[in-house]
Amino acid sequence: MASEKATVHKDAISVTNLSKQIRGRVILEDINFRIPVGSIAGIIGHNGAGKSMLLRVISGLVFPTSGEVKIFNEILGKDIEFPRNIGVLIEEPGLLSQYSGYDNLLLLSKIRNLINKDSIKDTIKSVGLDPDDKRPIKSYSTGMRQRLGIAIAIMENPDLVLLDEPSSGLDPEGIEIIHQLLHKLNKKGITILLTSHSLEEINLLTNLAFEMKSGKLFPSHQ
Amino acid sequence: MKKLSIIRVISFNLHTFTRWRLAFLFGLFFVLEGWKIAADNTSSIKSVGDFYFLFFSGPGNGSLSLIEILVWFIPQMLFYFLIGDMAYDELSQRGSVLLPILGSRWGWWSGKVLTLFVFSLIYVTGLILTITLGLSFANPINLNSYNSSVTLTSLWPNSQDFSGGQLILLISLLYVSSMFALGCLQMTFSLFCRRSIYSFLLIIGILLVSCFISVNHPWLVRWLPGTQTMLVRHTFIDVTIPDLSFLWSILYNTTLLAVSVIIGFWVVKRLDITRFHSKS
Repeated sequence: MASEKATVHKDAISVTNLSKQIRGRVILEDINFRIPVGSIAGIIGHNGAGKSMLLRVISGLVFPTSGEVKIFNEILGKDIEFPRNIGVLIEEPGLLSQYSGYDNLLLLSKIRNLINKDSIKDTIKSVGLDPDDKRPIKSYSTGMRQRLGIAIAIMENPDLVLLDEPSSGLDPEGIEIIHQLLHKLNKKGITILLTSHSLEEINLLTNLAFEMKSGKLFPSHQ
Repeated sequence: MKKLSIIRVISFNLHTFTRWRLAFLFGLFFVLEGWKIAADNTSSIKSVGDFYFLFFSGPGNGSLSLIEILVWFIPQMLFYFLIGDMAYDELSQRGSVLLPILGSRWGWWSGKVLTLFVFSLIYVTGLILTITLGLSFANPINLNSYNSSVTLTSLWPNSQDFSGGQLILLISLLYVSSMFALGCLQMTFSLFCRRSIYSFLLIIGILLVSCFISVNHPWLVRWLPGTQTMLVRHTFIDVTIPDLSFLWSILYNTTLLAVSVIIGFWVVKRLDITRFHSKS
């Protein structure tokens, strides 16, 4: 359900003059970009470039020092506290290690009660995991946890998905499954913004790319 | 968008309480504690009322006994340990997933505060029940003698007399309100200093300082957060303590709670949600 709201706006994300400083250190500097509704956009950059921080600001988790973020034409921090109907995976997903993957998604889904159990199982299958796997996720590999984090981000059929290095920790088969999934979601009209270390991944997945260096964002020459 | 149900948020918080399972170990500890005290043939326990009084009344304001202090201190220390990771640890580990789902920082914070209230009720009820269970193992006959309170009237002849039921009500309200208020202060402080262990140590410090500093200074007793749970430092039992009534304790705890909730929200409203070890 990429809602009607998503389709009537030109830009899913619009960032203007965004800066973030922490204890005097510049993390993000004068960032400007727009991501049209229905795009898959990518940000490439090294560790410490500011990619994760930018996603945190866009998702409303971190306050910018200056500048403005609009999500589907609503100003973050003014019109809305957090973007409506957003799915987020930033760094590690913070799962509950004593529960199974299915139970993790079920617990989170009960907060808003938007989806049913079958839908949760379908989401888990879509990232290549077994929804009937009863093992607690403390026994999962890094790649399996990453897949589950992506499942959490997409399970409630968001209009906008932010993924911080979605291929991190995945084996080649896992990467392939996630790439296909992202294309499928995008075809349904969902806007996706992801970050990556890999230029190849950015070229393969995105139709709009940026490069981040020392807190500054540049258009990428794909 | 569907309206968020606070019941579902509390249910999620109680499920994701990572230290939940330890509560059962503590339950076992209290059963044994109840059994041990009730099995002591030399004690003056005559009824359930006496028993509750000895376990929950706290150390008096005169000469302090280590046993009295520990019996009062340990159940509270364990409570503050159990709730230690409720606020900041969750925010730093699951905040990036949870907050966009909840859609509001106030929704998250109010959910935590209400969950703390529910957990305080569960903990104090569980404490009373497990101690009663321990007592019933040692001497089931005691359970038939419920309404006298020999210990109270023999040690504090000038005190008001209470039935077992009244004692349970007083104990429950004082403990729940105090644990709720101090627990909220603990959560707020953990957000402020961004470390759960510091906030736990702060509350432990407040309890111990409250216990010791007011000895020989009766005028101080009513102003300390840790003494509000101590039944025997209330004026209706110890007439040498000035102006510490049941109503005062409830109002004191309510004020402390309100201040903690407001400051906590002020902190949450301004907090950048990041992990301890950020990649980028």
